[in-house]
Amino acid sequence: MKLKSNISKIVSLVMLAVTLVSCKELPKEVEVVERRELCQYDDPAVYRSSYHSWIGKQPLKWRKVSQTEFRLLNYAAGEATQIAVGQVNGGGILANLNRWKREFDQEVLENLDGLETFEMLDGRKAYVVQLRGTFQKKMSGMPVKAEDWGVTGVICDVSGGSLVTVKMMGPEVEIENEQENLINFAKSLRLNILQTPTERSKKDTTEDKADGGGY
Amino acid sequence: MAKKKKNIGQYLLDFFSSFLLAVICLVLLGLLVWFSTLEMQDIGLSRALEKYYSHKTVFVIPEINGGKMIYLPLPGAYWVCCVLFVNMSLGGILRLRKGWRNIGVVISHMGIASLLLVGFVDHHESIHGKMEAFQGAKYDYATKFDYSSIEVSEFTAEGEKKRPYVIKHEMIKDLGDKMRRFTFKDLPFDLEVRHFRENVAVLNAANKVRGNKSGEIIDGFFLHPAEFDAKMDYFNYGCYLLVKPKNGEPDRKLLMCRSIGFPQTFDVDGKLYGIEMPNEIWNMPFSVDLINSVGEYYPGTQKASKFQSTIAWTGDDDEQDRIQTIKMNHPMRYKGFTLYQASWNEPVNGLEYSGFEIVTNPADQWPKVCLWISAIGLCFHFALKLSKYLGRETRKEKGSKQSDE
Repeated sequence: MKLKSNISKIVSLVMLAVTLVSCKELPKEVEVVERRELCQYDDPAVYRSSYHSWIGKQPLKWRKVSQTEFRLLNYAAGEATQIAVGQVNGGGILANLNRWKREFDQEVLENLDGLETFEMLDGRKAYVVQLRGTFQKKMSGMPVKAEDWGVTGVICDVSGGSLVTVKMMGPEVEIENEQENLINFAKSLRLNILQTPTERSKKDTTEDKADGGGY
Repeated sequence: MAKKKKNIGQYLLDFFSSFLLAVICLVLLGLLVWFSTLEMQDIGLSRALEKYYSHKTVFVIPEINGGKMIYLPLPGAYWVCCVLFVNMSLGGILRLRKGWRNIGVVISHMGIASLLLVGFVDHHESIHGKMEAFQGAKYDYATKFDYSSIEVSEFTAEGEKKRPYVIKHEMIKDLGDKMRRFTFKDLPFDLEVRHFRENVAVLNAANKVRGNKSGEIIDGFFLHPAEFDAKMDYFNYGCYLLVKPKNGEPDRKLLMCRSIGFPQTFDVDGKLYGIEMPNEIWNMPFSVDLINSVGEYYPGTQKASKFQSTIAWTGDDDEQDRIQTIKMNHPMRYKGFTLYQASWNEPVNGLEYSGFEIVTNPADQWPKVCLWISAIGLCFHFALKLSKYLGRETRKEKGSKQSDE
């Protein structure tokens, strides 16, 4: 009887100790003091996956958001504006610009004459199209319609029919405010091409730092 | 003569040093290993290890064949090993009759008990991480397995990142639907983290319909709880953030997920900040440059059977690269870090790729020593037994010869 009573006392004490230990809870407010040293993870030029193929200098007021299957770089601005960098293989510049025009129910272009142009991606010609009005399109089978909508689209042939597009879409008022940011961003875009160790060792490290950066 | 009454201490000592307890522990460990191996197919390696072998698991109920419960509650393997360690120490070493006849047994028991102690150290002190290396760049970091983090960085006007603040996994893993506020001494905002989930998908609101368990739509995207993929063995952590500027600017809502892979950005006080949710970044004291990686598949499958990598690596103290080939059972070791060849894939976008597992473990080489100790003990004991047997046989022969004479 005495033995059973002693054992039950020990068991009760152990269970009480376990219960007390497991009741620890973190506070509702925490001050964060730990900072990590920078490493190659923080260098946008270091290749981590196919989603890091393109990099550009992000305007301060843009918010970088999750990319999707067709949007290699994806940003938000203002209340409802989205900016997406995409890659299209095939169709040509004219066909893709006309596809955008049809979304605004506008007449298609016969040629690229008269369109605003500038240089991006090491001197390649980029075409700009400005679309305003009612946007109407089917997305995943569902019709999408937006009044007083705008698109500013930039399209550039990288090589042999492989196109890069930078498309900004949103309310007309917001689109007008972001024109300069869009063109500057497009001009800053570059492909994250890796160098072989031999080529890398030939480059001056100071030059590397100047080239780097840009989210 | 009346038997001397034992006190509670003696009963406990007898129980914990008994051979019966050792057998019970070994049977339990056998069951735990068997069930964990079966369940690993459904829930993945890391979750199976957490469920069966973690010190946080007191009891486990096995579930096999896609969640079918086996109503056989078993104690967690960690605690069974603790009991076995006590049992071996008391019964196999302390209470064993000492003498040259038993010295081999004592030594081998010491080796096994040390091995259990090594497991204890490994469980509590080792850290495992993964380094994904593509050809053509140097990698000096790994990401820790199953440890999420939230990193908050400021960017300079040129777009360069400053040293990030790190909110570690321990500070957010218990949140669920609750909220916790994080403050930073040098930043002009506080952060509220909520709705932390272990596994989510980031869905585009333009293409996907929100469900009951879906999170809020932010910038056209929302988080939805996703099933854990046992084959990928990959936790896609996610949460929602509220950035609260201290200067009265409006709050900003952000959506965080490990799979996004880069900082979600916003501006406060005219400066750009970014927040992202990688698995905890682990700085390495060396950098690795993948020269090439070679692999073979099992015939008719896409499962890699053999893979190895040749790397050029530079330690903190080194002036030049060292070239080394890493393959199965031939890891690289440097300053307490061990780098194993863990995975391999066909070249991605023309770039060769290798996945390395990085482990730090103060007890890294101890199992080898423990096994040598056990082996020496067993060899000594069996050598002793053999010599006794041979001696007995010789004496028998002599005896029978004498009787014949």
